[in-house]
Amino acid sequence: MIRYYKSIMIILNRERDLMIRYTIRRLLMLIPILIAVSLVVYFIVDLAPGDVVDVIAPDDASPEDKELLREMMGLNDPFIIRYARYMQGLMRGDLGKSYVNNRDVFEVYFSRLPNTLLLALAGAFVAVLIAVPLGVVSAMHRGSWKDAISMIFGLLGLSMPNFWLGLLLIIFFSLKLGLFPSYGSEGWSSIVLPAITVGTAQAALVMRTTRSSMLEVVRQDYLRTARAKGVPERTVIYKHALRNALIPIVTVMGTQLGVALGGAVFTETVFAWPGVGRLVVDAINSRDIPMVTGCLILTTMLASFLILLVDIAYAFIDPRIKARYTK
Amino acid sequence: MSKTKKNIVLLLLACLLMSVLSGCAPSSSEQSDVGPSEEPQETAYQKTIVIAPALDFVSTETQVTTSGTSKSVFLMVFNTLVEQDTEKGGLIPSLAESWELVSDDTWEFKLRRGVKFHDGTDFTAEDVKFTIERGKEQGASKAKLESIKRVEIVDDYTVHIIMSKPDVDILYKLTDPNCVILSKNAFETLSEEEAYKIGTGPYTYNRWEQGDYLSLLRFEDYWEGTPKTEEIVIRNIPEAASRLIALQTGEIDICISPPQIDLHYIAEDPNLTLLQIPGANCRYIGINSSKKPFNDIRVRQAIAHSINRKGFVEAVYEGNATVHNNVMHPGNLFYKEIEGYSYDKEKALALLAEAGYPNGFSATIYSSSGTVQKAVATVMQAQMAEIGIDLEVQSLETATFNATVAPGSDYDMCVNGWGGYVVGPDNALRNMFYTGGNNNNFGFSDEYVDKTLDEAVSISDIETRKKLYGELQEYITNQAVFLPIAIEMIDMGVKSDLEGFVPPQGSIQKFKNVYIPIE
Repeated sequence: MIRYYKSIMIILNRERDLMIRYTIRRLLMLIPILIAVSLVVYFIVDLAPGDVVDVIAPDDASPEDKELLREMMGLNDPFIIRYARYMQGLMRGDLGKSYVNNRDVFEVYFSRLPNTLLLALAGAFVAVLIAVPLGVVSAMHRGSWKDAISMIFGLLGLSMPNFWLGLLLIIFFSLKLGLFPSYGSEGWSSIVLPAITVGTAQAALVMRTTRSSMLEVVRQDYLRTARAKGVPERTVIYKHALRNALIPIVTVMGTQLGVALGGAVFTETVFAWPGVGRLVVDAINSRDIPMVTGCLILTTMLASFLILLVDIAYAFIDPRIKARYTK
Repeated sequence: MSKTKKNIVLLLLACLLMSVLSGCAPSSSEQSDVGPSEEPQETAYQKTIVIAPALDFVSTETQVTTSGTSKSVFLMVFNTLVEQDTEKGGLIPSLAESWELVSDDTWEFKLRRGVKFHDGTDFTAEDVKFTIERGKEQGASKAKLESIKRVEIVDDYTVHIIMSKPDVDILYKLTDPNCVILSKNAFETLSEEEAYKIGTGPYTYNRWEQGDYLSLLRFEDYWEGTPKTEEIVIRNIPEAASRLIALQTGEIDICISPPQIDLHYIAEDPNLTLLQIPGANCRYIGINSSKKPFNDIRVRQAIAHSINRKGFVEAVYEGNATVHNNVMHPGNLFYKEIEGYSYDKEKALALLAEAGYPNGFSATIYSSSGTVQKAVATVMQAQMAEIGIDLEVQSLETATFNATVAPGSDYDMCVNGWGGYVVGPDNALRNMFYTGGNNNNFGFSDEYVDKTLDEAVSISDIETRKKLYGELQEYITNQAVFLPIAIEMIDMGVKSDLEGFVPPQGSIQKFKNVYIPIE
């Protein structure tokens, strides 16, 4: 591996290839991360009392039958052997099959992933839609009743249990008004209520970030200059102040999106939204080690790739960051 | 943030959103579409019926899975040799037209002619032999088929099933969805995954989005006639409250296990009907009789006498369960009314004092993390406190719970459920109370019980069997290792105009004939 890395480095030893070098270094760093993730997850699920046979064996299975089943599934081997066998498969890109129903882990994960991405993005969209205007208003009117109302809203969103808000939304918008379907992931209208549920919780944090970031920016000299020049207040706030306040907000949103990739278990449960979150929780409950480990490895990979993409994008855009890579 | 940077971020977001959305195109958008039929000549039926069970469909492997929802689906996609008549009781022909015991150890089954598998091939004796022999090796069907020695084909439509030991309950065991008849041809020509999808039943697998829904389409060449409903969709709505709302909005037609406290919404709604059926599950308190102080029968009897079953039904089930006093389920043909243990605090205290615990003792009661299980454990804790037994409640998540109270493990008491009566009286008692029985986690071993169970399963005269099982029920109940609390209800909300519903076989639903007529 090291020799391979060095030879690549020689080839790329030119100024304009520095970005590629950086990208490759980041990709290589993924390998130890993935090994660590798989080891930790495999080990933790293994530590939990009971195994998949306790879950899938019928009520009337004899202890001998259960033992036979464990033997057939290779569950009686020592941890390290089972893990090595798993890693052997992983090296070939084989994430294994579910203990519970023998379905391909990779296939099942990717059948759920689009739903999780959709919910994550729609939730983020709702969060921004609510949080940014509220954050700006509360920063501009610091200490006033507008600030207090925004703060109360933020606190409510953060402390209200997701599943409860979800149920309230279903009762009001599906049952009473009949506007949206109460469950499922089919068609455009079905995303609205889950997105509001996820977005409201995220909005609180984004709102607070917007508020503090705006407060920071409005003290800057250039805003005073803009006002002195007679620029209208709206333009000052939304064009000059908010733009400069956006960077921390985007960072927070990025983190939230990363978290959302793991799925929103409660929202998925209430709305019967077939995402990754419930898949993993169900798999943990049935001690389906290949499914749990596989899903978490794929989620880690995905999140790492996303972060890498964002970092690279920043580097291309911001000369200060690019300069740091070349050192 | 510079303009270009913002544009790039926006563009990335837009691309991601588009790619995600394109992967989420509506798959069965015309679901629960009740729209008027174009051909008015006959009675029309609602095209699709949507069913939302409490637990998801998890597997197509008929001989491996124990999931109740999956097994309910198997009864729509496949047939068994013999079927249980859950309305009138007894057995009715299915793929086998008739059966009889032709010698001490041989059952002869005459098979139905003209039955087609979903792939168009004919059903024959070969398929029966193949299914049973394969099933003897598979996880879930193994225990049901283990008393069968081998299957002999007499001709294309006659088989002999030769038993290795007497088992008069084999007919009941063959009605279990783990024993549905598979296609030999499919298993020889297709992958296992595909072969498990070929049955003889009224519905065929159409589309399965795991965790979302399973769609079944009717099989036009079904031997009992084409089903009235074109498509049946099994919807996964894990949250009970959401499931009920989906029924109220009309998005689904059958809602299994709505929240118990919300049942009145269904009863009050003119468009809906509330069905309450005594379920298969008997909720009980299990006692580890191999452990001190529970090895003293007087201690167990004291506990049994201090259980107020009515209190449980009120506190835990809001009245939606029936108190139960016997180790056998009332749904079993061999059930006998017995007295059991009455609620008698004085007697309990006297028994405890006699056993040497006048001031009670401390112990731990384990339950799984299910709502009902936890509630039962808490009520038990309160009731035992009255006779001085200090119970600590430990609620464990299901897999951990199963491992903690497995036969041979070192626990004190547990909250558990048992519904194994569906495949005959022997299965119901042998698993639980035979020495070393598969579910005997009470450490219970009794020579009389073992001997009588062996005797009862080898007799085919029903009256003699009834007498033996009656004595056993009385005897085992008195041993107080299995303290029955209540028979739980299966609650279901359905559209009022739903027809063709038959009661479930234990916890396995029989939905193959459901339909909704429309004007």
